[in-house]
Amino acid sequence: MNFFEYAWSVLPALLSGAGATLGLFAIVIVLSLPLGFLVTLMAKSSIFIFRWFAKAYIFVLRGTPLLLQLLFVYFGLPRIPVIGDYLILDRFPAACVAFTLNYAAYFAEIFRGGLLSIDKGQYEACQVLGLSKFQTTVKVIIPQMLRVSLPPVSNETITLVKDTSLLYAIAVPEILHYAKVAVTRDFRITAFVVAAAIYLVFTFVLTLIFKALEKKYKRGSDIKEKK
Amino acid sequence: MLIDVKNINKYFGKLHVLKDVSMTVDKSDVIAIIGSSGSGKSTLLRSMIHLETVDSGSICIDSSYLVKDGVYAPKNEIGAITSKMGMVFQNFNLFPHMSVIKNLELAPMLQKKMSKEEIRAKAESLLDRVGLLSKTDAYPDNLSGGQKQRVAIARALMMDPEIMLFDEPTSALDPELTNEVLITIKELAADNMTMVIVTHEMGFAKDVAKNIMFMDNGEFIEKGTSSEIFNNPKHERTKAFINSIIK
Repeated sequence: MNFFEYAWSVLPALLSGAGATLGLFAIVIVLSLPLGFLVTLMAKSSIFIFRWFAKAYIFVLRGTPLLLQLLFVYFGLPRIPVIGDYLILDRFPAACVAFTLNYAAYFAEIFRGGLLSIDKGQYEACQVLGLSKFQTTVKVIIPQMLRVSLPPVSNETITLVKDTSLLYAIAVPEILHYAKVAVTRDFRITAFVVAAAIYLVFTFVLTLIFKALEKKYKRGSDIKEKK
Repeated sequence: MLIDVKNINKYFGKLHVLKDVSMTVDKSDVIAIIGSSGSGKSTLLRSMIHLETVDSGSICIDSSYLVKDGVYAPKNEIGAITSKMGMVFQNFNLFPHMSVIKNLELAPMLQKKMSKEEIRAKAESLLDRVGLLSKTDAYPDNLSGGQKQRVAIARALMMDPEIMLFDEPTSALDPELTNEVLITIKELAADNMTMVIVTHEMGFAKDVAKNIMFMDNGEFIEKGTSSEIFNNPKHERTKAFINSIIK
């Protein structure tokens, strides 16, 4: 078999692993973005305990390896005395939990940076126009925060695609798992090339989506008003 | 009397920025507050619309106390009191993610009991009034500074304020763009809008303001009509300031 025939023959197996990759990706994005924003709000809260919790959360989740967190959720949580029995998760749900918690910490920091970039004049303009705090946040602050946050969020999202390969560590069959199986079985590294191609397709599509989003939100401009 | 400020004091840390300041604004008054940077004039203006809080004294807006002897009105009443005023900032503070017309419509859409069509018609007529009807769908960053400031004025007028506060409305503009903004403000004066203007534009202050108040180091040094202040200043510091500005 030449390269292409062989690559074609292993493709179905690898694509069957893509389901787990895509599934994890979709679940984590949908859950971690709002969770991250919640953590941002807590970090900005006037209530001390919320601020403290958000800071500790970001410190721990950003300061330790995702692989460690994944292993901890899957192997470690069930061993916690008393409550451990209620924390036994299947492999895939365990991965969803660990990834979501981890990515929320990163998104929280990105959103916090986005909020910091907003001029205090925006809040003042809202106040003198009689907008409530809630209206100010939803109509004026969040749209501007998202616009500033979009490029770093896009970056994290692409990292997430690649991080899904960590599923390998808790033996959830995904793209990399099937590639490794083929390589070991056939003594050919072609399957790794095919796996790389599949990841590249995913990240390429994501890049296009975020480019379109950035273009959409760029209307007007992303330059802050001159001081 | 629309605004009555009585003996207000304000500190930033140890710095005493407003020293027992009092002033009144009557209906259709156009008052210019002049003075060097750091004299407290912006802080005074911002205190009137609750962007700064004072440490003592009283501010009464259209016979409702925003703050009385250092005690502020309950939070839920402050909005109603300050809604009598509109404010225009030095840096425009337009919403950059919204088109010009959306900038005007946002606040009325959220709180006025007017139909969408009425709000749109009102926004268009105000844009027409400031000469920017052609910029309805433009975004703020595609406008010149003078155009932005005129949009900001129209946005403030959407809320039907009885009083307009201007905080150095032309200070962020290139000199050749200040005129269009000053013309817009003059037109408001001609329509009997009550206005308090903090400004560095002496020619404009002289021209449009009935009364001029000179502030220095946190207090009013001199108050008078524009001819009194400009042609016959009594106080040495006023003289020095006027001379340094008009060369």
